Amino acid sequence: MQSSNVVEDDTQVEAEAAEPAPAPLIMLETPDDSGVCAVDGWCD
Amino acid sequence: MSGSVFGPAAEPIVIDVWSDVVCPFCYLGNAVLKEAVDQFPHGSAVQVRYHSFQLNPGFPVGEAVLADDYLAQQYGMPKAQIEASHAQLAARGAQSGLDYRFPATMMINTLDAHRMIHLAKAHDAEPAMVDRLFRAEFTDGLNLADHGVLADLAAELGLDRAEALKALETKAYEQDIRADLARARELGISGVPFFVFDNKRAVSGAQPIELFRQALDVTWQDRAASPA
Repeated sequence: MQSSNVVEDDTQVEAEAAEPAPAPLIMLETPDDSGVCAVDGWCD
Repeated sequence: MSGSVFGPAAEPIVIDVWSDVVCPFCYLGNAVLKEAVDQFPHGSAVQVRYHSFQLNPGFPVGEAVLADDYLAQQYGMPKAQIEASHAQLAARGAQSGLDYRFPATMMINTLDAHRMIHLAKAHDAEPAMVDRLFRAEFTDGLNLADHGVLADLAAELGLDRAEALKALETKAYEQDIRADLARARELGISGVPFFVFDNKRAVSGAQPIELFRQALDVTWQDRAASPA
């Protein structure tokens, strides 16, 4: 089923207000910090 | 006790994946995750769900430029450095059966591509759409800002082309995309790909297959150890 709401600004979607914080995730230790594209678009 | 269809593992292991269509590491991470699930003895009890993330939300909608030109301009990266980085990733991708063709890859605003993923999800074709969009971006060099291209890809997967075009024209699935972004913010996700196993353990980045196998094994053990 599709949501049908329409927004005026089509350049980007802002995140809605956050709900109560969930339990912290347990991060698996990685060999290094590479293999990620950051939110600023930089990939390393 | 190990999980059985009657025990704590009766519900699938859910892997929530945040990724963006223009993220080269997301293409690789998705492929490696699939390999890990294929190798996992309980792979049939794994459900992968995809969530929207935008690396360049401010990029003009409808426009497209060569990604290499964008990188060079945005970050001042010398062409040689870009090519070296691409060669390294292409070699890793080839090991997972991926054919990166970076010189033809386009930078776009991926909002409309995410609409297609949500459309596909509504028709139980989400993984196929994610795969197809990655291949379109990184192998085929298609312009995923073009509504006609996106609708063609939807039709290729057996979805209704007219429905896809309507979803694009009416800016559908905005609420779903907002929810994905909000959840990412709650979880503190600042880069992709990002994988969450059973809402408990997480892997950041396109990591080696061994790490995904470890995540699956530990998550399965969590299930077995939890009360029925």
